[in-house]
Amino acid sequence: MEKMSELIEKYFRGETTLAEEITLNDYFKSGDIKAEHVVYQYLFEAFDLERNEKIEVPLKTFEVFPSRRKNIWLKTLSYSGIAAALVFALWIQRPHRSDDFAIISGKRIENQEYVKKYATAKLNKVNDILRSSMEPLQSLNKVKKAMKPLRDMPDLKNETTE
Amino acid sequence: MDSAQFNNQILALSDKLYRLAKSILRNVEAAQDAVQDLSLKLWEKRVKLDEVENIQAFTMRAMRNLCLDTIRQQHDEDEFPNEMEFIEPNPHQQIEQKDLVNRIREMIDNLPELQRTIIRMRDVEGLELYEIAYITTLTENAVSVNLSRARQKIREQILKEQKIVEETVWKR
Repeated sequence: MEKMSELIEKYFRGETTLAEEITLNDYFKSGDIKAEHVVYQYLFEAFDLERNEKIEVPLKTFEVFPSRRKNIWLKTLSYSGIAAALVFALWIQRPHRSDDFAIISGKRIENQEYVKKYATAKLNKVNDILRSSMEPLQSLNKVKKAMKPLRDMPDLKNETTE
Repeated sequence: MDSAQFNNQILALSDKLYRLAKSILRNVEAAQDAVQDLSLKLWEKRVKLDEVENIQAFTMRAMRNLCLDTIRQQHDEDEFPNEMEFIEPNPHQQIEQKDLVNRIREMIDNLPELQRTIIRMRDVEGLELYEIAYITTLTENAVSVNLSRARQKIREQILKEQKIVEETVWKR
């Protein structure tokens, strides 16, 4: 007990080792305490109480997910692939309008047969017009043919001078 | 330091860190926030933790610094005073107050920050003087002096309170 009194004094001077402080703690927990030391029992009890105090909200654990980034890229790629396929399918399925058409008298005509017939008729008409307009030139050809013997004749003027 | 090591070493200290933060900040919610805040900061710098020799002392030092920063910030914002003054209750109040164990905890809480941090790191957490010196950035001798002062103050107050209780009992 005398030793304990010395140890208590040493404790309050801040000179005890951790091992000595454990001895003191055990002494105050033992229940066999000298009357004059009882008052300090509460001090060690207070420390004990604080030692058992725990954080109420436990900390969240930390984790590294190396594959998560890859997954994000994979997901992004697959989602964009699906979106692209969807857009393509919608484009294919859109109301179809043919690129082969003709505008006749301000109207869009997609019937190819009709357009061919219309075009042939128009071309024949143009041909007729051309032929009839070439007829005056036919008579010119006749004059040209009639004048051919004259062109074949030698130059009279030159012959007389020689 | 990988996540498993971090969770084993740092998160295992969460109760100690919380007690330290609570002792400095004297507020449960603020202490919890401070521990969460610190764990996040340490997680972000976990690569550097491999170089640390004494993880416990390092994290407790970081915790104390973070708490002191919080107090300084709060003091600047004038939300509440940095150090609450210890208003000694009158003898009548003392008798009516909680039991002596809780009164002692209040006495420790009312010590200056350095003294209450040191006494708790030693008597509650069981740290060696050199570890406390590292955490508080003091010399071992300065830690010893502050520890002695803190214990002496608490002793005086306990004896004073005990005397009042005894006198009250005798009067009855």
